[in-house]
Amino acid sequence: MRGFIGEFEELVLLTIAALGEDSYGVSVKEDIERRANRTISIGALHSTITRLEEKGFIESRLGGATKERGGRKKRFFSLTMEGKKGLAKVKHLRDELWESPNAKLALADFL
Amino acid sequence: MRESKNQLPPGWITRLFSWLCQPADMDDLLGDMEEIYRTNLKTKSTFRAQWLYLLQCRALLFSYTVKKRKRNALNPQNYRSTQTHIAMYFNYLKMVLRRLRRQLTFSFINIFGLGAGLATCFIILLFIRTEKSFDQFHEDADRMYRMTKTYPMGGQVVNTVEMRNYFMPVIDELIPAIESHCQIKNIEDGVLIETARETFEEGKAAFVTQNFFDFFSFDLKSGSADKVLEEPYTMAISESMARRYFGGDSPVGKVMKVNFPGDERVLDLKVTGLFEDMPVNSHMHMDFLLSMSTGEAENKWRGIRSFVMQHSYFRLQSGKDIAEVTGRLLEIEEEHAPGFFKKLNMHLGVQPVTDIHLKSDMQKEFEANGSEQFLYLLGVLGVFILLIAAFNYMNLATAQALDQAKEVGVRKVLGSQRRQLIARFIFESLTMSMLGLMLAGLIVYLTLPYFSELSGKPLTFDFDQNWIMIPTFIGLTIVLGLLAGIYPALYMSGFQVVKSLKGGLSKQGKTTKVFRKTLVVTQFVMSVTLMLSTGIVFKQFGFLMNKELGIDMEAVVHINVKPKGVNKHFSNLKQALLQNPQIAAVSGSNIAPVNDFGLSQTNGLILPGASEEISMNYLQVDRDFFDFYKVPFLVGEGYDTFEGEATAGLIVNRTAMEQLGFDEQNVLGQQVHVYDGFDPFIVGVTDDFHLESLHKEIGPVYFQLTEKDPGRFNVMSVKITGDDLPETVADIQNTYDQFVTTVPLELTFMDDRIERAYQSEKFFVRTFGVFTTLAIIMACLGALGLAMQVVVSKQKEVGVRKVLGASVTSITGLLTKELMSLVLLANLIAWPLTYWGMNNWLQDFPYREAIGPGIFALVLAASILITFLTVGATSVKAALVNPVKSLKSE
Repeated sequence: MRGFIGEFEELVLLTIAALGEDSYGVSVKEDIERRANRTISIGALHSTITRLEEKGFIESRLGGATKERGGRKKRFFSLTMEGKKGLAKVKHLRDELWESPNAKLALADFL
Repeated sequence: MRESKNQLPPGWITRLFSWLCQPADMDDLLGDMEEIYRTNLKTKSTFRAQWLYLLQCRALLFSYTVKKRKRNALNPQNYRSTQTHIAMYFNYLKMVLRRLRRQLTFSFINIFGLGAGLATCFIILLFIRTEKSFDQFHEDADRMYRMTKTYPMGGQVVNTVEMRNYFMPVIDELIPAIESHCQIKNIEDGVLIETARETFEEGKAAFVTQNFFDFFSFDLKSGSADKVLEEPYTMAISESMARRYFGGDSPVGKVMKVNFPGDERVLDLKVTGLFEDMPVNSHMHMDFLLSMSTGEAENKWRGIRSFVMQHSYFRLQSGKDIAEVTGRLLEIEEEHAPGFFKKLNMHLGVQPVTDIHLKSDMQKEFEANGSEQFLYLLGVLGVFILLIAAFNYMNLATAQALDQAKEVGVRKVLGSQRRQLIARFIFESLTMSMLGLMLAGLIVYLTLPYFSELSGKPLTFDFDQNWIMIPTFIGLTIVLGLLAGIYPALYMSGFQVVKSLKGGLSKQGKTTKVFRKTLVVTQFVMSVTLMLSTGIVFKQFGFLMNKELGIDMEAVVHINVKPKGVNKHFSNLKQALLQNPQIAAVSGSNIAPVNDFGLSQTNGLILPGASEEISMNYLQVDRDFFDFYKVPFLVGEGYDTFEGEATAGLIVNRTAMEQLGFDEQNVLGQQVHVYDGFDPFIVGVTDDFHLESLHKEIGPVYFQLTEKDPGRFNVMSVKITGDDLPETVADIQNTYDQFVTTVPLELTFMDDRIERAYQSEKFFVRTFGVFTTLAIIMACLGALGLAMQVVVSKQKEVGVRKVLGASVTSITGLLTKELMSLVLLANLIAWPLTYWGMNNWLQDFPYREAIGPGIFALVLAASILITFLTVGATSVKAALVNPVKSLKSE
């Protein structure tokens, strides 16, 4: 484990996983914006992606040129094994907390 | 399909972004942004989409991604160079100190330049702060105001701070925004203090209202603020006066004998209060404060008319706007004295007390005030000097770069990053500027007393008031060090390793050369501007001091005969003095030229049948006045041949004649009515001549013959013929003592009077002279350093030329040519700038000397000569070197 996964990092990781083959800067941004109903800046997104890459959770490869981007290349992202493990760990932690009897009681009213 | 241009995001943003991100590859990020841009275009306006594109670019630019990619692109090994290595800084320090020792001349020029520049700035800033601090010490200084009065007279607008004493209480009552008021009657001629043995003249005295010490924050040492000036025939005196008259004893309760010049009666005044001497930064410095009730009880001492003209101050209620007062003033003028203000076209105004020292230049000020314009000029001067020092550093550091090329090369080979090299050179410039700051501290400490003398007022560094300047200057020094170091640092850290080690950097790039030339030219422009300005100011000063005033004032001394004790002996004294063969003539008048306080007495002349009076200044003179001063007449002649009643004839000057509507043909014999008085005929018209300093234009004046004895003369003019001035002055003293025992002789020389009238110009000339000299020396040091560098870099060329038979002269010429052309260029740039600026300054003087070509030629010659002298010696020395020496190596 090379680091801790923050909330936004988790969101980005999950989105990359969900988008599969087609995950690159704009698609990740649009997907998060649509699902979470929040606006994120491309600068913040890329900073997070770079950090995730540094931590070894994701890897990237350059794709071919595309017309709708003025002939510029896309950088595609995918989860590494490390990333998948990290996500699983986070999910496990959360599930455990959700399953705890007290949390169930306390949260029952809201669910 | 051809894409329309709108489909593309603004190209300049893309280019700027890519440029800023060099050398990292940002293609994928740009692609992302372009895609977003196109999506946005579908739902939003083009402008909005472009704006969002710009915002995204900006956000991305500062993101971690870009930072990291840039770093990776720069250091493929991903080496982190942000760690600090303390040991490295010790190494830098060692290198700096080594260079200091080896390059003594350059180190001296740099440190001295920075030190002198910082010291000058410090002193200038201290002076500016002192000037700006005037009257700030009063509690609620921001709510204190002084009343002013404006009205036209004799074709000019009169601004005065004296006004009738009943206005202020009325205004206070009518305007609720005014909290309280205070009034001061300045005793312009001072008071005479009679002690058992002697009579002393004391110049700084005033009648003040009872609340003076409540209103102003002057420190009362004994006595209570509300009681001290309550009773008539009481007064408060300053501590220095208490020391003078009572030594160590407490003066409170003692009685002093006080007399007013021009009065017979001696008053016994009881000292009820003692106050600390008024601070230097106060617009008034009184020594004797007499209770206003004393003046009221004694208002016959010089006539009611003069006594009621008082200085009026008021304090605004806190939270109120001064506009509430100024707005109401106009209404009050209308309501309460409808005829009065309209008829005289008079208006009341207000000025903040804290503005008095720098912004007010009115009649009847307590003292001569400072000039805000002068402060600005000083500020500019300080910036100039600091810039010259910084430019010297930049220039010399860049010029010396070749020496350091090897060091740069070695450091790079050993793995220095560019940013580390930049840090190393900035460190060097910071060390130099810090050394300069230390030197500056020493210079300020040593020269501050000298500047106090120069400015005529004590200039001291008061820590409590000015401590803020110390951090300011440390900050300024750091900024200066950074500014001066940044260019050399960028330049030197960019050397290529191989070239710098191989010695291939023998020539400097074109950009660097242009840059250095720009620096030199800018420096010279500043120095030439300063030289020219000082020259022009100096010329104007000489012009003021030496201009023919239109009358003969050679060998004239003035005796003050204003005190009653002197005045009653006027005729006898005059007769006795005329017996002396060394004295050619004696004349009496109420004002004598050059009067540096301005003509104060005014009266109106009315033509028969006219309703409007023409107000003008007047002089009371005796029969000999015109003959004494050899006043030129247009028509008629002086009073010496005039027969008839003194009130039957009147002499006016040319301006007065013109304003009365007469000309040389018809003026003689015209009858006029003197307001409040008699109806004389005009018997002569003088040509215009200066009675006041040349700051003022000649206005209309009439001269009234006074034969009453004792007359109302204030000044006795004495013309000395002999060569032995000291003996004649001693004779005058003896004669004076025979008649007058109570008042000491006060004798002034014309030269002193003229000089006193132009004191502020003198200060200006002296201050600018000192700073300009300093600026020139610093610019010369810079030029010298540069010349030495040029000589070193051209050593071989000189050697080859000599072998081929070039003469010493031609080589010297070669070496100095470049700097000379820069000096010429600087002159050409500086001339129009200075001409424009100084012409503006001269407009303030009604009498001025036009800026002729002479001064430009002189400055050009001087700047070339000075440069040649500084640079010449080095060049000649280089030209004399035996070529064997310079060519041997290699």
